[in-house]
Amino acid sequence: MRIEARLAEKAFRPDQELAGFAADGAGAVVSFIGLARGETADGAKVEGLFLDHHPRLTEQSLKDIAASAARFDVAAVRIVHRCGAVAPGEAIVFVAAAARHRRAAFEAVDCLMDALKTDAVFWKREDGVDGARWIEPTEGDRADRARWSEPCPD
Amino acid sequence: MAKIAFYGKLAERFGREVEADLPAQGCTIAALRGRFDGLERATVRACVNDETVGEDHVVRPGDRVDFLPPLSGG
Repeated sequence: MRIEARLAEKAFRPDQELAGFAADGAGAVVSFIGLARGETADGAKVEGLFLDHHPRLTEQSLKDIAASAARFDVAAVRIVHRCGAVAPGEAIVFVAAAARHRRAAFEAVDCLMDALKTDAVFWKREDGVDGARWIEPTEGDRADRARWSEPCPD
Repeated sequence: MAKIAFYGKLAERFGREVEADLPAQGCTIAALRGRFDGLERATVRACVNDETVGEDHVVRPGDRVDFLPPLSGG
């Protein structure tokens, strides 16, 4: 399995990430793009996000999460994740998986996103018009992550 | 001296990195936590030279210590 995981300090182009995602022999490529929302969960306006990161542990966490896709029958995965200041509408994360058949690619991307939401080494701050707020994983995020903790069906 | 780095909301409070004077024999993570207000053991993970360590781990001069608050995830 080919594993690519990269931390992007500046805005990146998800379309170029997909175009450059070589998947020789694959019958399926699934990709996901996460965008910075312009509103908080409560509907308040967000002027931007700031993703603080660790100089080594963050990229290592992305690599470890990408490698965890080996449990699926995929040939290649790519993760690109932003850090620093992210404006609403900009891409925060790009995840792609290539496989011989579609099911494995869909499942790998779904699982990788759930893992990224809880295990990626980031500290996220929402900067709103009425102040800034540091975000922590929600119970929903943890429940999404736990879906993949059960043994795989044979 | 040891370098102590903070992240997320802890970095806002203490700055990204500070240098701490250590005795020659070093000092434990537990003792180091005590020098700062708000590094609760239950939620703030300690790493020394990029490895997660326990409360009894002895930090030596020249080490790099990271205090990591709960991750927000990506």
